[in-house]
Amino acid sequence: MYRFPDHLFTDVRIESVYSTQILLENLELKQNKTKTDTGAMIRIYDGNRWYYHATTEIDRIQDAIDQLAAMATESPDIRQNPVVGWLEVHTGRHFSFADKRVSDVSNQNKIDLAKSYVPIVRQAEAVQKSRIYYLDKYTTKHILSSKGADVSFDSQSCSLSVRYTLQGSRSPFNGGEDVYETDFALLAEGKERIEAALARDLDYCRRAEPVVPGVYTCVLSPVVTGVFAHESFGHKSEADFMVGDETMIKEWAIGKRVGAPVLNIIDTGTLPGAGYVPFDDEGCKARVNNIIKDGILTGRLHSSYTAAILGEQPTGNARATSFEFEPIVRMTTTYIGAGQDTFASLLAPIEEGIYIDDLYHGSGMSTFTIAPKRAYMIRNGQLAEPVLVSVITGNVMKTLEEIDGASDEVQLFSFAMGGCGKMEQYPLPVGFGGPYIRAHGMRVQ
Amino acid sequence: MIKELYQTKIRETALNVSMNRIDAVRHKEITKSGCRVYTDGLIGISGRLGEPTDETWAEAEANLALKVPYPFDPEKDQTRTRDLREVSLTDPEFIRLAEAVLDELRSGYPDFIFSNKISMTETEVRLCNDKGLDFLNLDRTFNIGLLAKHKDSLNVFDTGVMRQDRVFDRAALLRDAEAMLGAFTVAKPLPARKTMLVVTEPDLLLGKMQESLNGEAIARAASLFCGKIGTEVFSPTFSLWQDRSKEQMHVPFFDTEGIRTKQDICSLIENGVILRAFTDKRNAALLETPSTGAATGAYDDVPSLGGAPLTIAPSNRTLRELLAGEEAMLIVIASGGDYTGPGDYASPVQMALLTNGEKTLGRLPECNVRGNLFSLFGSDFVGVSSDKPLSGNRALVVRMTVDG
Repeated sequence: MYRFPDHLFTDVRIESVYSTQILLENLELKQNKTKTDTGAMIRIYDGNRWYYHATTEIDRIQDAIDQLAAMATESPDIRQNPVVGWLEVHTGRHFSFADKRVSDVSNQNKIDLAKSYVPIVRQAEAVQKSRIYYLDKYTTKHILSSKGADVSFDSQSCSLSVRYTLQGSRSPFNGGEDVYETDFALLAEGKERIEAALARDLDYCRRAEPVVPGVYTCVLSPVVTGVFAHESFGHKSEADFMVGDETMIKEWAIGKRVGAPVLNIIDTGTLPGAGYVPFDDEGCKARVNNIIKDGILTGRLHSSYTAAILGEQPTGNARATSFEFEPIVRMTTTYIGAGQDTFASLLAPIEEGIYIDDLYHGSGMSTFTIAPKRAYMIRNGQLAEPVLVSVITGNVMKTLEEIDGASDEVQLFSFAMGGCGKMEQYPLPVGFGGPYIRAHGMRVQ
Repeated sequence: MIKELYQTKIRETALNVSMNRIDAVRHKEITKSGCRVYTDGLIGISGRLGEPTDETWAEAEANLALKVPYPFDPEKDQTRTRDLREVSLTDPEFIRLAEAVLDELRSGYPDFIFSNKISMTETEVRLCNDKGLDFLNLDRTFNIGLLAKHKDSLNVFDTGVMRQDRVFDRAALLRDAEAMLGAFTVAKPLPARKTMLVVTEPDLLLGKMQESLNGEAIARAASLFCGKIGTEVFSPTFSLWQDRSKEQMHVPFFDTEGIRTKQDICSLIENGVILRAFTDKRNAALLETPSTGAATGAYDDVPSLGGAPLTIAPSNRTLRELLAGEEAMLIVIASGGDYTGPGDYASPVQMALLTNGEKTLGRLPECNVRGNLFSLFGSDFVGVSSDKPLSGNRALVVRMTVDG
């Protein structure tokens, strides 16, 4: 198909993204957009530097290859380069959504679906402003390489999201809920979930009072646990941060204890949802990566480049937010594994603590943060009054040691809007989740 | 029927830095075209990556059938080109400059590992229609986004050398590096007192302003500032602008509806008094005021109200003068903080330096800062510097509570 230059490694990733965005703003139609964008990322590697070109001119990919090749230095033994050695060669068509593509659903059906959620918002008098979003995306990718890769695959998402501002007793309150699926037919079943979220938000914003800042034992809901796992340890497991850094290589030696024995963290692109990545953006097949097992560091996330440098194996985690960017090491679906407790048994021993029910956002470096959307005091082992919290924080490594309980059921989530950000690349769809967990020593403000 | 084109172009050369050296070069040249047609209070839009074709215009017309309301007149009979580009470099020249800077950083700061991106970005944004509107904004910046990690540190990164400028200012970049890295290994304790002056880039604390000055939030009683328009609620020295002036990088002088303001600035808060919300045409109509020109959206979106480019009016005092002899916390990294609904702000500070306003004196331990919106920009507001000591940006100085 393309003339790949001799003595260089070349790959081409062609992406075609069908998408729909329908927006009801304050219950009136504001946006109804359907489009298909196609673009390509071309990469050439000469063993010393990578050369990338992002283009929307698909019929000029060969020109781009030739231009990049002119910048590179020929390397006759490029095939023996360890980075090139780790780049997998897969072929064939791996389409999971061809029989239920959102592109085959009529625009009218999508509008009708969005409008079917209008009564839920309309009946709530405290709603000051609102958005109802219907979003879908059907993506196909085709990766070809000078090693012989020629693999095509697809992914799909569709969602119904409600966002609103409520008039609370002390101030306006921003709330909302997502219904996320990979099959359009299932979206209509999310109404009870939206109604329940709205009811919880109404109750919360009418009763919540400022928290007394301090250090508390916290219980995190599964969605908060998922973001905590992503932010607290997921980013630290991305191997590009370790490249060329002897201190980090020693610190993150495989086999080291990094958390409490109850702690298991897994990342995999094999699960349905926003983190479904059957092949990563350099054509490496997804697998299940146990990052922490029983508190012991057992793995990390790689691209072929980081795997080659660190002498480990690629893991299917080289991802880009779109054809405009080169793949870098990113998470897929990251979650904490189940324990043996129940929600009630996690609360039971806590005399005074805080339950974080939902969140706005999180971040993570040496210190992680969670900005709670809804939080409640725990008093004498029971949920008590709602409290307003700006942010909960903690040292990542200390907090991983302070987890002493996890419930026995894992829930997985996908956010319909936003995603993970890393440097210039945002938003990347990711999945996350976990059980309820209990952690001591969190600073609450 | 009125036909209008909203088009964005980006040309970029980005250098990826890993282990102190350039390990990748990326070229990007992307054109995005949004074709809009207006008739009978409706809007039809079709977008395309690349230049628009007859087919794109035909799709936009066909999309009128989707009946998306847009009961406002497009702008007409105005032309302006603002070209903010200053320096043009070829790729080899740019790469040579970047490599030279990396060489100096490597030799000057051998205990640090540098990574991430150095890029040269050119943008072009055009809005034109067949009613005589033709606006064009051109800009080009050199963006240094180097993360720095001390070789003995267990953090993913510790600090950075960050700068965005319209010239590749090597000397300024090296001054920034010395300010950030020179003081890194000098440990300084937090002061014993409960509060201290904090020096930061203004955006860190402006999130609640964005939310509360939004015209839709004001119009629909969903803002903390409802009932406060025309009232003095902040310090008499605090003024806030919607800012599309050349001080902002890659921000066109017009919004996505083609609205521009006098001198590309619109005052929202003046001397502590909230004057107006920022608006697009729809919400300006609800508030019965002129639009401030805050419509946003992707190239193929119906224009709508999003965030506005906000700037706190600078004082006539330098950072050193604002500190008036008091040592302050210069926030380098404060990630993940937020406001509660009523305006209580808290954030961890992952990396901070002690400064006297002229130079950095040492590194402070990780800590937490907090304050309330009305105090931070009220009694605790000190000012925004007239000089640009923060990697080419002005410095906001406020007093905050610090928890060790």
